[in-house]
Parts: sequence; structure tokens; C-alpha cells
Amino acid sequence: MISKSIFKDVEVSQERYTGRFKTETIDEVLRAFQRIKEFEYSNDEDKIEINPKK
Amino acid sequence: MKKRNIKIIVHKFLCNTATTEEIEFLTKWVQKNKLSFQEDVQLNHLVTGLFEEEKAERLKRDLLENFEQFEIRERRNQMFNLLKYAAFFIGIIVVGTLFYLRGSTEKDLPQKQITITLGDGSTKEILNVESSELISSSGTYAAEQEGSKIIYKKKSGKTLKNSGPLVYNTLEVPYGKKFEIVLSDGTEVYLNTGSSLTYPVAFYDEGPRNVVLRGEAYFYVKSDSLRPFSVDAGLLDTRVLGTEFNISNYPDDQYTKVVLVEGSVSINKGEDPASQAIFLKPYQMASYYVSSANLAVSDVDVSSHIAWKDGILLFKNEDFYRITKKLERHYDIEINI
Repeated sequence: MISKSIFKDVEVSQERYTGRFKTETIDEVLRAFQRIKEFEYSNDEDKIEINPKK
Repeated sequence: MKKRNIKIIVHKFLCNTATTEEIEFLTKWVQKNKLSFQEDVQLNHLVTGLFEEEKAERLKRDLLENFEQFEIRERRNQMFNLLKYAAFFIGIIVVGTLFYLRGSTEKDLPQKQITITLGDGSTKEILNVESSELISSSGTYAAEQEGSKIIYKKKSGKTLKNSGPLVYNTLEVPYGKKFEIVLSDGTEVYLNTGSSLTYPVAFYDEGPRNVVLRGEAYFYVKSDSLRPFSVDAGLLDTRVLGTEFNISNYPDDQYTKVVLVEGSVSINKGEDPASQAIFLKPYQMASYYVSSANLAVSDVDVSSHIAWKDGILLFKNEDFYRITKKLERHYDIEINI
């Protein structure tokens, strides 16, 4: 099976992170990442769009 | 008033466009037709699709405000009844919202199911049931399902000589799900999301035990000196006697990694079975990248490679690209950056 990540923003994609999640939703996970990296995201029917914060 | 008009009024009421007179009429009508009203409300929202969570919350607020305004202007002396029916309406909206959201999820986002392809080529869905279910009982061997696990059992007193073809099953796990298989030799295999395993329903009594993996799995191989266990993972072949290890070879990762937790394994390049095998010690990882065609061994912290087995998403100093790959598989989502 092929996952579908598409990267246009090299800066965001090259950041390195450490984290541990078990019961969190995808929104909770992304909000956790937002605490250490400024970005915006939208979640439209499980299609996540991540962009640098304007 | 005709039934058709009631439906219109109910719709207008929920869209916050009903007049005071219509709300007054509706209130009286509901007193005698609670079940019909409930049905109308649910149908209305199923048809119009108003029950997005945010809209439902707004509707609830508007509903209360409507009743309060109506009560102030027209029916101060009926406050208790109106609030009672407001509560009734809200209850219906909440139930209807849950009903609609649940229905729309099933309709718009069909659940991908774990499937098993049997020896005769037929494919069936594996439903996550609590009680045991017989998957196949033909011949000497049978498998039972216990929730998210299938257990293949060899019936006592039976043997399988090295003659005749083996019967293979293929279990496929979609993104967002995991599954466990106990093979007929007692080997336990945890299949990660987006993975498949092809394996014989029963192994021969002697000779190699071969399975094919695509994706990621954790193996507890049952020790058997007469029957070495082999995993064909595309780029790498892993051979063991009895041990614990994790293999990851998702096609879009462009690599295969074998992480040894206990015991020992030998590894060959899948494309070159005659190549010299390398041996791993516990807490070592063999990596083979398509780009370099190089088989390398390194010491690793195994926890970040096997945490998925316990339902944990663990990232240790990983770039966002790798993380989003894991998130997509774990949550069955699509991420664009």
C-alpha cells in the first residue's frame, strides 16, 4: 500500500521531532506539534493540508 | 393542517426561519404528535444534511433563543411548557446529529476492512467480533477468530508430510487497523497498518516455514530446529529458528529494515539469495535501501521500531516526512504539506 504524503514545504518537512502518542486523535497530535513548530493545518474529511503560519 | 405543511414547518423551525405563529402551531402539534415529530426531525436532517457538528451547535443555540423570544413576546405564562419542549427538541437534535453523523461517516467514508484471501481465491472480510468465529474448517486445519486475532490450529494426531501443495491464506490489513495472526506452528505475527502476510494454513512437518510480508510486522517465531522460519520481505530474506524481530518494508519507503529484539537471524538480499548472509545480534538493525543497494547493520534503540505493536506512535528525532508517513498509516488519512 502507498501512503500519500506530498511535500511542498521543505523547511517544515526537514524539522526533526520526538514525541509519543497513544490515544490522541490526529487533530490532537497535530496541535501538539504546533506547540513546537508554527504551522497551520486544515482537516477536511481526513485530508490534512499543512502550511507555514502566515 | 396537512402533514406536508407540518414537515415544512419543522424544516423552517430547524433552519431558524419559522414565524412565531408557526412555532406556536408546532408547539401545540408536538404535544399530540411527539413520535411523528421525532421522525420528521430525523428525516429532515438526513435529507438536508444540516447536521454538521458546528451547525448543530448553532441550531441548538438558535433553538433556545427562539423559544426564549417567543416566550417573552407571546407566552410568558407558558414558559415551563416551552422550555420542556425546547429540551425535547434539543434532545432530538442531539440524537439526530449523532445518528446523521454516524450515518454520513458510514456512507461517505466507507470503512476499509481487514480481509483474508483463502486458498480457493475467495476473499472475505474479517469483522472485529468479540466472540470466537470459525474461519475455515475444511480438511485437517481450522482457524478461529478472537477479536482482532486469528489463530490457526493443527488438530491433534494429524501430520502433514512434504507432499502436495500447501494451501496459502493472505491477510491484508488496511491503513488505520492492526491485526494478529497465530500461525499453525504457534508463531505469532503482529501485522501493522497497511500490511499483508501470505502464509500456509499449515506448515509441513519438516522443512522450511516460509511466509511473505508486505508492509510491517512483528514476529515471535516458535522455535523449531527442523523447520527454519523464513520471511520474504521483498528486498531482504530473513531466516530464523526461534526469535523476536520486526520487519518493515512498505513499498513507498524504498527500504527494508529488520530489527532484532531477541535470538539471532540471518539476512540475505532478496534479489540475490546466494549472497553471503549477515547475522544480527539483539538490538541491531539491518537496513537495505533501494537507492544505494547496500545492506548495512547498525545498533538501534528497538523501542522506536516496535512501539506500534502496543498501539503507540513513537517518534525519536524523526523528520516530519517520516512522521507524516506514520500518521497517514496509523490514522488512514492523507497529508499534504
